[in-house]
Amino acid sequence: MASMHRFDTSRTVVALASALLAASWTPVAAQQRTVVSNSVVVSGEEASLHLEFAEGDPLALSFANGTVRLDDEILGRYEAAGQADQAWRELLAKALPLANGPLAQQLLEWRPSKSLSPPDRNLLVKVDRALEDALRVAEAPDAGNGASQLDATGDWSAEVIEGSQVEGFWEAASYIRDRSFKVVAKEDYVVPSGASIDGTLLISGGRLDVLGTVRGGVIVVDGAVALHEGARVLGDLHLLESRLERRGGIVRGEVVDIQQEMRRAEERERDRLRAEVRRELREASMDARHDRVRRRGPSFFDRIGQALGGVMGTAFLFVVLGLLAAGATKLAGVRGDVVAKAAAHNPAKNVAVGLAGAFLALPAYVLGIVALAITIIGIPGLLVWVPLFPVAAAAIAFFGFVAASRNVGRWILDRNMSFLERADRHNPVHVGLVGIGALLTPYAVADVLGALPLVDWTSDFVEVAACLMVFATAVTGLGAVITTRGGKSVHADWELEDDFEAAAWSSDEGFARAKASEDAPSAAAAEEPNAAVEDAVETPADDPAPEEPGQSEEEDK
Amino acid sequence: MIQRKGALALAAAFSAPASFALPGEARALPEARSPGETAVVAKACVHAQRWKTVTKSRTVTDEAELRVRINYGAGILRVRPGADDNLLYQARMRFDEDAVRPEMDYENGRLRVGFSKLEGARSRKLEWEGREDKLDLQLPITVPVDVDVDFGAGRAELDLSGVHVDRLDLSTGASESVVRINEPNPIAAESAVFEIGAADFRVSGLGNLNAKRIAVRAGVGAVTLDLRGSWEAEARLIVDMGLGALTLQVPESLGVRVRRDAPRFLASFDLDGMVKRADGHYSLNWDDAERKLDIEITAALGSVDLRWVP
Repeated sequence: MASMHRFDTSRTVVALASALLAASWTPVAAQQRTVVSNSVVVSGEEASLHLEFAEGDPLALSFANGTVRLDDEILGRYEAAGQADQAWRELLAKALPLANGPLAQQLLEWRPSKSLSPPDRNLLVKVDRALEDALRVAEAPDAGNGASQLDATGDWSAEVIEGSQVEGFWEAASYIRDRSFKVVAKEDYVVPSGASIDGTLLISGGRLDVLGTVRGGVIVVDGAVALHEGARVLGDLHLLESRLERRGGIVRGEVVDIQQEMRRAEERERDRLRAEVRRELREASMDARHDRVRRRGPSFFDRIGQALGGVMGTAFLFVVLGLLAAGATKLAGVRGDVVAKAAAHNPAKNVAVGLAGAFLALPAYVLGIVALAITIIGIPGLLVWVPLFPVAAAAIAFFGFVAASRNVGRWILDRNMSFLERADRHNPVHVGLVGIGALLTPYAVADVLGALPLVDWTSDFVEVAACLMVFATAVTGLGAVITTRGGKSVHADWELEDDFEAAAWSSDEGFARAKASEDAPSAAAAEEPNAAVEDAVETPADDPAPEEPGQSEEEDK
Repeated sequence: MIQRKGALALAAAFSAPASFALPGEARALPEARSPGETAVVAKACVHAQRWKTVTKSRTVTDEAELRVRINYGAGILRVRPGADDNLLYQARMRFDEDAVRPEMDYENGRLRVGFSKLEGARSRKLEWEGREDKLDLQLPITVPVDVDVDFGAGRAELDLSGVHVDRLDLSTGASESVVRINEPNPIAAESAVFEIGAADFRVSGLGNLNAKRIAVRAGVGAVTLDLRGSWEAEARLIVDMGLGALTLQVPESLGVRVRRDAPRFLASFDLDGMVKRADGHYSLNWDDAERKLDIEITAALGSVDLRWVP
């Protein structure tokens, strides 16, 4: 593993401690340490305990996802809901309500049951020992003549490190940050209480007991380090295949597991490479897909989806337009009939008038604004003109479209198609809906054709034809609205097919009479039930309303 | 019998040291459990797939004050005085780890505790009895506390008896909340603010809070302020009612002046036993009372009812 920090042998003098005190350390319980904070987490997957001591150092013991950890160190594995798991949870259940002092006492008094299976008991003994080590204030080992050993230095040579350790040693040595440092190989070493070491201390293949102060960092390779009460490491503590025993000492810097760090670096590198490969694969896949789509066009299912979406959209448009058309037809009453009749009577003229009206609408709008703006009294009118003119123009155009589409509907119904049997040709709403449906149907047909192989090229033609039909209908309707002054007037030269009096349509008075007839069909209509009254007023011919008394008099007046 | 004790321990597993139960749900936790009971507890913990219990406590060291911020969306909240003089706080949370994420941070005398909903987690019905998230927080009884509670919906019980309350700020939405102050606050509280949305809210022993200024802002719901307590100094109570019912339970020994601010529109005031003067309604003992409370009420709609209590 390439390291970011190379060990610079040329600028440093490596000191090798040749004779160190192999002090035996006995964890004698003197008193209980002070716990200032505790945290217990219990869930289905986890049961963990976190303690914080007065000195600031923490302890984390967790049973989670089958692994028992002491801080970052793995103590062993357990079976969920097994004996070890249950025993640990029992302990935590007891600890849950306790404050810090009693909690520490409870944890210290706890012992794994002897009835447990050997693997579970061994695991819990490790846990118990970890708790003991963490919670008891240990007596300091006898540092003896360790102080004098600190001065014993000599040249370091790689031969003292056995072959398999060399790589790790160099990796660890790369973490040395200080110019001054000491290296102790294959020996135990003690930093006595009150003693202070400047620079970094590197221990390889031995045990380090710190009771005093290390002003730099500590690096331990293939060994163990114990930070006793009063011990201070002002730099970072790096561990490589080594064990850390916290006995009240403090590390001001970070505690770094070199192996873990190396693993993380490798994982980061792997993740980076993986992400890079994934991104490249994704890009290649997208490129390939784009190429495929470009070559082959959308797949069959894409086409089916598009067709369904188009048909649904057309159906939705039909519902919306149908509702609006029904409302407009009801509101317009006989005026709608007049406009429809006008549109059918002279379509060419209506188209011309409609086009002219459509093109003149914008100039009229602008001129109106200018005219109102330049006159003082007209300025208030702007407030009405500006918003209402577009609304009125759109309403007029729609009114014309609905009325003209009735002619289309009537033409369709005259074909006596079986699936339109339920449509009442005397009902203007029905007729209008059939007309709008007929005008929109080509759009749906175009969508379906677009999904079919071989004939998909016809889709665009059908759609253009549909647009032209709708446009022609709208323009014709608009022209009819204009020529009939909104359905108020009827031209005398209309050749009405029905028996309704043409003269009655030729004036406002006639319009009034026709409207009256809509409310109560005339006696003449009643006498001639076969007359095509429906063409004018859409009154059902087979159900003529009886004449109201005095109706004729009213009409005469 | 064994089954009953096991069930008791099971119930206590998530509710020790004392149950989360609000009044009416009293469940006692035995001081010491038998091995059998704790085994049941452990087993229950093992098989609880969704529920997680987190307990955290800290001992008083050199803290001059504790600032507590509770942010809790919905569930059951209990705040109470700590049982130990050395306890800085103890928080116990039980929650559905698939639905919420616990927040419990302490640093430099500031404690943040509560839940935040997980992204994409489904909302749960509050009335799912026994399956609500729960938070039980013990406060210190030797360190001044600044309490800021933001509680959404559910049930809340805040027992601040004997707690050194320096400032109290409680905001609650649609909840059933009770604040209880049965013992006088050993220090003078700077202020107390209660903001109530659509809650059924009750404060008992408000006089024990020892606050010079108390503000209550209520939207909809029923608010009951029991003004009994020591009232160490003259104080002001400012009530801003929107729509709802306010009941003031006033001890007979307390001198009270009530002033109503416009607008009052359709609000009804029942100030029985008060005398109207130029600048407000006065209790009969106002001039002679040792302890006086000035109440200012703004109410747009709803009702204000003043009742005298021994």
